[in-house]
Amino acid sequence: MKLNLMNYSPNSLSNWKLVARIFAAIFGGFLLTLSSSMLLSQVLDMIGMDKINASMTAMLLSFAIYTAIVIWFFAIASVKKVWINLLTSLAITGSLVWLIRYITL
Amino acid sequence: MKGAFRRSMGWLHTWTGLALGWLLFFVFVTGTVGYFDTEIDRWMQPELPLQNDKLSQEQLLDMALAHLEEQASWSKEWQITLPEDRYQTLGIAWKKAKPNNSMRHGGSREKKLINYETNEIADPRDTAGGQALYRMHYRLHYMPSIIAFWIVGLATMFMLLAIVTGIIIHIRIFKDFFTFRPKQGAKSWLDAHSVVSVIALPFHLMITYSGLVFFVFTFMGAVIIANYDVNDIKDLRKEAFPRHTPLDPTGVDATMVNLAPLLADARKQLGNNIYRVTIFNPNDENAVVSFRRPNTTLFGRDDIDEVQFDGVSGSQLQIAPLNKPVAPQVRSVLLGLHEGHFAGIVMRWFYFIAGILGSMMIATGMLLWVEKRRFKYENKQEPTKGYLLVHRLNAGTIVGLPMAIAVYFLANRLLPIELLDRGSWEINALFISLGLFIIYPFLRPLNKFWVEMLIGAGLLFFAVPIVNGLTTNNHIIATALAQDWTLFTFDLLMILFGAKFIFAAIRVHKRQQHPNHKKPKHITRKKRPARHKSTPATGDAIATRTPHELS
Repeated sequence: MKLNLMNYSPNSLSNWKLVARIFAAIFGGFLLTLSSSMLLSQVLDMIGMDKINASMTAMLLSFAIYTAIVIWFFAIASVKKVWINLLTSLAITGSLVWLIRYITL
Repeated sequence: MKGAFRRSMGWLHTWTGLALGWLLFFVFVTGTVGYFDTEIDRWMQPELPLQNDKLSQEQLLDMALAHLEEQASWSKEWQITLPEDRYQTLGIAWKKAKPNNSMRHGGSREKKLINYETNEIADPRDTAGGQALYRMHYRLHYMPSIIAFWIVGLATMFMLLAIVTGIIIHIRIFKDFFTFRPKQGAKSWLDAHSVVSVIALPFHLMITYSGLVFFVFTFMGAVIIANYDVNDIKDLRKEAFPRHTPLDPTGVDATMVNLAPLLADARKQLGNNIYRVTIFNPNDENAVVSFRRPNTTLFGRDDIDEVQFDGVSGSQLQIAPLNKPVAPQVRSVLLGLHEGHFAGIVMRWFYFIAGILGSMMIATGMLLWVEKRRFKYENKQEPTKGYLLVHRLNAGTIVGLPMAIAVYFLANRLLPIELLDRGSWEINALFISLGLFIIYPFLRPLNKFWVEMLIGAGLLFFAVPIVNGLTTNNHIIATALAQDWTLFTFDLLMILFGAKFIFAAIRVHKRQQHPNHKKPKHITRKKRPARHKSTPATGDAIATRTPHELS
């Protein structure tokens, strides 16, 4: 797999692709962290954990999730694919969270 | 694929580390100093008596009670801090708010210190103390706390990323731990960076992750709404963080039992280091007396670190263990690990040293960034603006921040005692001088400011115990004779830091005089056979630190 997005020098900071990737990682990554932590808290609740423990566990793990997401976004070769992955996973986790919340609450 | 991934992680490591490195250095250094906040508080109030072992705890308790009776007989809660362990002052505090149901937990406290040698309310100088240093490490200064939390939180997230990516790119972690190649420019900085990072890696990870956990409700609070209705969130707080509620006063006056025998009883159960006595509803039928020792576990456990007595009958009350759910308990453990309230003196020093290693990890990382690019710019082309900026900011923060902290201590001794808002002027002195120290390298030639600032730092640290000796009676010999090791160690540390900076200045100066002073090449080769294949087989010593080989 060829890594075509940046040549790893500070000069490429001007590269809009890099800016787009950083934007996806920081802001998109944060939103995806929230939605996936929410989903995790619901899954933990469904498999029998107390609600309070489920929510707290997901929140405590959220920073590790955030880290993993940022690393994932920087490991993908093309910035287009980063955004596609971001938007699809946001859509999937977001709608699942909404659906589960709608059914259970 | 694997190479690309590691290079990508290398990029992330470099830039997450650099982007907020200076802020992280500030957070780490002030946080490290904060492990001795109480001790620094005491150094900054030299009017208080030296450490005392003449009076018994019972006598001190009686003294404090008499003052409380006089100052606040109406209050619904008294608190006494005994000079034990780290808390070497006799303090009293009482709740200001008059009995009122809505103020059950709230209500601010009025605090006074007692000079137990004269049995008078002490009137020490107004100071921001070690508490201010500790507080600015997570909420900065001159801004609303919520903004500071987001800034520090983002920086901490960058730190976590830098650590994790650092581990990924550094797969030879244990082998490199035993490798140090001195006096080889960028390579030596890389080794130094690896050593301080690896040696305390569990600490760095723990302190960073638990630091984020402090902000968990600020950043990730929205996660709650996935499982809870918005209206139930209040109940969740109670469920997650149960606490003991003190009894309400009955309003019927009663004579309290003599507390001295209760203290003796409590000491039998908790040990000699009882430092806090709290009296709920004093002189009321529902009076309750609580004795507390420093936490012995990672989180506050009322049922093992506290004993309570009925304040009228003197009989012991049972403290039910709080039923905290597991996950909030884990959170408490993480916060406890971060704050280290449980740490005794030895553990506290380990925290301090680990904190210094963390600060060095950040500092060496940022110096390495410059060192890796030095060769390119010194020999081939004009340095870029970014390179010069980082080079200067490094000196301004890595040396400037310790200097500013020394200025903070000096301001405590030199500002006029009557100055209005004296405590905030101490903090202003810290930030004004930090600003000047950051500007200074921009006014000086590249080869000058490091040595000059290191000498300045050395002199400032030497000045602290000297000025202390000239302006107070607590000079280093007096504190040694009185065996007041807290104050003694403070002055001693200042001298050691001063010496360290002077030595550093001498080393940097020597290196600048003989830039090519390096070990003969063949020694290097024997020690480290071809770590980087790109290293030219021939070539002088400088060629061993070409920038690309380290990328």
